[in-house]
Amino acid sequence: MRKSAVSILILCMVLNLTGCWSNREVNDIAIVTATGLDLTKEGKFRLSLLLAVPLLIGTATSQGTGTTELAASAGWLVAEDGDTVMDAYRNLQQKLPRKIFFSHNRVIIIGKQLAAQGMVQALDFFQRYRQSQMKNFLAISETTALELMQFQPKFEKLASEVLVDEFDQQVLLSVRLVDFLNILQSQGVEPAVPMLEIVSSGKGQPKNKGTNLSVSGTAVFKEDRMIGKLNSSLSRDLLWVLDSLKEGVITIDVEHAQRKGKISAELEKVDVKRKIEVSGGRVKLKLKVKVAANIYENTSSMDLEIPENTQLTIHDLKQDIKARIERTIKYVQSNFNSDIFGFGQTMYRVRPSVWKSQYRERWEAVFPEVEPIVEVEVRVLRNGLTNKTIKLSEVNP
Amino acid sequence: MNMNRVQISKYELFSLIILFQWGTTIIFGFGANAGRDAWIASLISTGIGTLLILLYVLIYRLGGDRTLAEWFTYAFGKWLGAPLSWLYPLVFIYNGARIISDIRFLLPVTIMNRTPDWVIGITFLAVVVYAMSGGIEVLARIAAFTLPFLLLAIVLEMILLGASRSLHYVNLLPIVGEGWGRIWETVWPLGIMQTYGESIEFALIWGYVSQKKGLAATASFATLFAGFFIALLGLLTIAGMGEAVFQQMMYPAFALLKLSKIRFIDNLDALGIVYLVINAFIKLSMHLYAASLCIQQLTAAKKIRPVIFVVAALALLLSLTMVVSFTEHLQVAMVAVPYHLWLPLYLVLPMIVLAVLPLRNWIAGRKL
Amino acid sequence: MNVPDSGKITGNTKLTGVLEDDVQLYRKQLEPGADVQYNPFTLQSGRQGYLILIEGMTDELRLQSDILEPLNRMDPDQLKGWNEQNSNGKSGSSEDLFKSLSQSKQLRLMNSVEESLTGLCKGETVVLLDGCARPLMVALHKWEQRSIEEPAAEPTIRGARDGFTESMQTNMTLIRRRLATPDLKVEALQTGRVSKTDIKLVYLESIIMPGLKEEARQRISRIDIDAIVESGCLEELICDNAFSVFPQLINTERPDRVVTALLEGRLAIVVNNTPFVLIAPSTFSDSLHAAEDDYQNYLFASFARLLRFFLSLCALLLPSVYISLITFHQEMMPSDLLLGIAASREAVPFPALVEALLMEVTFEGLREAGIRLPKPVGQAVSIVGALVIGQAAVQAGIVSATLVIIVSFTGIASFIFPIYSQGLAFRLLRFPMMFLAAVLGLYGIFLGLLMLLIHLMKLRSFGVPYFAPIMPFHPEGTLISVLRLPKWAAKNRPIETAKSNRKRIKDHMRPHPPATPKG
Repeated sequence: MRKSAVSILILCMVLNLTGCWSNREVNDIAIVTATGLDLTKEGKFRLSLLLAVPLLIGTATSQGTGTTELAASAGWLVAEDGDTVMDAYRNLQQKLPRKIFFSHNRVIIIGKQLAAQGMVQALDFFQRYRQSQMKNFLAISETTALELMQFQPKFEKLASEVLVDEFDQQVLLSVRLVDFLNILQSQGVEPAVPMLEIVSSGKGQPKNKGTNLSVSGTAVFKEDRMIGKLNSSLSRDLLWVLDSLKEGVITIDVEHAQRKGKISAELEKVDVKRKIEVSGGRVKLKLKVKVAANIYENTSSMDLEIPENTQLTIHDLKQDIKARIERTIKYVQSNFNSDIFGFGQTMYRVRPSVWKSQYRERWEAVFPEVEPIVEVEVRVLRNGLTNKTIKLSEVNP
Repeated sequence: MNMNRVQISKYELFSLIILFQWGTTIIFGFGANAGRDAWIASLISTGIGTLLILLYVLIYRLGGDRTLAEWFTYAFGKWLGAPLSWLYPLVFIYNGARIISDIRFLLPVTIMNRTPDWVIGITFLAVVVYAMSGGIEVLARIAAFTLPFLLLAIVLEMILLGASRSLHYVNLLPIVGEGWGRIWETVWPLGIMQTYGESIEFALIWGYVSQKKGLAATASFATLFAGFFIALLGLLTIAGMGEAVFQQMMYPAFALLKLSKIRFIDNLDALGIVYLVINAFIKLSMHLYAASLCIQQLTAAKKIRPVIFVVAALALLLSLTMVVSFTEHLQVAMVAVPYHLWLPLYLVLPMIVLAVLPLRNWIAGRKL
Repeated sequence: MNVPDSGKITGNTKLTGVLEDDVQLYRKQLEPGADVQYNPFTLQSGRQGYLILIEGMTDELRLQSDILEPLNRMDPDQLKGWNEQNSNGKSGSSEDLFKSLSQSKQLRLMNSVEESLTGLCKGETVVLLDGCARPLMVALHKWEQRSIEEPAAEPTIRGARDGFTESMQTNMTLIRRRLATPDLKVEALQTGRVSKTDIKLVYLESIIMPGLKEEARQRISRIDIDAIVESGCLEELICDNAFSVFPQLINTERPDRVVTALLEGRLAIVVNNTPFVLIAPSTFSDSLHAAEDDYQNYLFASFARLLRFFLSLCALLLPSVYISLITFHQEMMPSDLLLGIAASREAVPFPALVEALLMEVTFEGLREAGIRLPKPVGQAVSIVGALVIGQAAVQAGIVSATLVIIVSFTGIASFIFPIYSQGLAFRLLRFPMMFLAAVLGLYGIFLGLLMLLIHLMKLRSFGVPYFAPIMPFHPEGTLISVLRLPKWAAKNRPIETAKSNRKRIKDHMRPHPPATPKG
């Protein structure tokens, strides 16, 4: 008893004397909030880090109410080149007075050039390094990563927060590092990663007035190389196929009413089920889409109280969704021949023996021929706060 | 029968077995070689492992409540039995040394980089020695006390992962898509031997359990329970990150925890490490305590305390000298040890003892 | 000298029967004794006598009415018993003497001067009569004592407001008044060579844990020490583990708490001259139970108990967790919080450990000073200290604002222990935890906690595991000690103490409203 107490005491003292090894104070670290990777013309990696500057972020200072000015941005962008990511990181570290700290990194942005060259060389570091987070979101920059990170946010103090918020809202395809790596190493599926660009904050405003981040499309990969891009609207439709659509609005034209107009439906619940059928060498993919939607805008004169009209609307919604899905699949099949939907993986999961014996080796040839069969089921839950639409005093003959 | 006043209750034994079997398995993940079917491999191993535990209980009952240290001398006589008995404490010390190494490698690469590994090893061992000096009672109570918290932590982790939308159960498909081959390879012999075969150490402490009646039931239920959670954790890990990444990660359970995030609850890495360390703590304590008990009984030493110190010092020395790199450390665990060390000691010899016991009992009965 | 440091009075000086000589014998023993009074008296019969007593310890009025006046009226025959050489002064013909003197008071006839000295020092009066060769001891104590007040260290909102005082007699009556049963047994012991401190073991015969009173008696009678000044001195000499920081016996000023403990099969050790009564055995969870829990609504009391468990952890760990997060595990904090803390620490020149130590020591110092300082000053100092130091230290950039919050909360948390001495243990343990955190981060804290847990598992209080009933696990006991079940649901006494007689309340005692006829 006493012996152990004494030994603990001695242990404590000795440990203190020899110093604290892993010890790094909060003020000795440079907190990375976003990481960017580019390929330079010399073939080197350019690592750009968005560091948070605590003093600029901190709430009201201790001086009291005097100056609580909001710094425009609390981020500090630094960048350095190197032969490997680790090398660039080392070079950067040498220039910084504080220790780079990765654990709070949220986003990894890859420049377009690098993505086209292959991502694996860049990502190994992030899987291996102790401080890196597998849950970091991945994004491809329309230009270079460095340029994208120069974006100056208005609501938030750090660009990374804007990014994370966008990803978290799940209105766009969000790919975490772990997902990307998993897809990369799985059979019958290729990665797709969102692409970002800086745009002016409102239509019709000049770019220097204020900027915003926006999703410009989706990068389509083959293995770890980016081979092409889906534009913005196709990117949204891609979410249908991947069953990662959580919210959204569909707008359809109303042709049958007296006063023509549009109906917008807000999606409340979307569920996509896949079924794969192999018959006589042809692969058919059944997509069963179940949608629950609320109609929140109706600019036509159609009276939604009448069941036939509702049926009509539902029919139009179905057609619209079906067209979107088919269009997307066709586009990818014909332009990229890269199975970003994971049809092959679906087959592997459901019928592993068929996949392994017949398709694994020649999936590239089969994929463009896969025939999508889309079945859509739509339920309209609510019509919003009103029943009838706004009526103009029309002269009825 | 047992004049010793030290007694542990059935619940305490139950938790001790569970924590022991979780041990470092929960750190390294079970059966990465089986890929996404690791959890199946884990369930199968648990089934067979339970039989193994029952075997140890059976020998204990058939052998007239003799402990592991007395099995061999009773079954094979003094000349053959004594050297065989001595093998066990040595293996236990070796196992203990491996646990110390696990901790020594785990902490620096996760939360304590730059802290010298010997410091971690020594501080850890100091606590273990302190616990052991309190005897099996203290160990059992620590296990019993922490078990509910550990279970709660698993539930919390599941909630966290679920809420952060990190679990994708399609990652588990296809079930047994790659055939039974790789499953069986993980089950035999490593899966059974590492987690369940090591439970032979409990053959030294059956005698301390206050109620002997439901011993077999308690032990086997604890094993099933532990195995279920190992499988569950494997399942979650694969669902969380997919087969490929699961196989690549050195510490899958740790990586899994890092995936969870809801709002401000983020990056619970260090807590996860603490979680892993407490499992390692119980396992190491059991290894070394079993070795000490065994040596004490073999040498008929009066006090166990000096034995504990010697055993702990040996384990530390062994740990600091036996392997240099982590890859080597893992390699030994995967290939050499299961076949050459564990299989004969944990399975073959006990089976022979079981076969010889009725004969022995008959002879002993005639002598009276 | 006949009264050396050992306090053992040796010698066997017989009285001569000649009054003046006998008084001289006493004077010789007691000189210098400025507070000893030698009061001569003369009976009607003309016989001379002396009262020897210590100033201020005797009820002189009653001495007059109960002793001197009956002596006066007594005929010489009755006085004969005075000289009987009888070792136990109460039998034989001395009985007559006592009967005629007084009905109730303790009277003893001693054989020698030395025998009577201890009694004299405890406030008894020695009556010497010319021609009688034995001193008569009269126990008519009366001295100034504090009246019954509200317990200072354990105040409650609801519950009895009387607390123990320094007088053992009063204390015993406070207990007796609450348990009107002959089952309440009181054993008297005495220890301390010089102090001759009276100790009483109080228990309920039918409930007490078997073997407990024998063990306590044996542990107390083993003691050979000059003085037991307070029950704390006794506690240290009879506890199970001499090196533990945890209080292994609960001390309380509250009679209701003692009574509750007695009803659970425990033993109360009442020590003279202190308001603190010891309860044995006591467990860790006992020290987190307030007497009030039993009187307040059980739901709230359960909440309060859970809160105490939680806050006790805070009191132990909060500063060390802060240190480990700041210096080792920055990734564990939410990004925004980390940046906020980093901003507030930007100006602080010290490492987190030094910063935390600085504040903790200041806080502990304030607390200690607050107790020692004269009352009116004390309050001012603690308020000024807390305000000024906290505010100024942050502004001067010596510590960060976050830390001030942490330290204050820890301070509040360390006040939640209903048993003060348990709070002391936690306050003390906080410091090694901080060092461990500074060296090994969360791993260090965890090792420290594990050590603590191992220690708690090993610890026993009079043979009862300190962590009982949580560990060894007893479901009902755990429920009762972690929560506070309503009276009708907590049917049994704790198993670890009341082993055989466990039923506390009859079944079906849950109150119901009267059944109303339907219609």
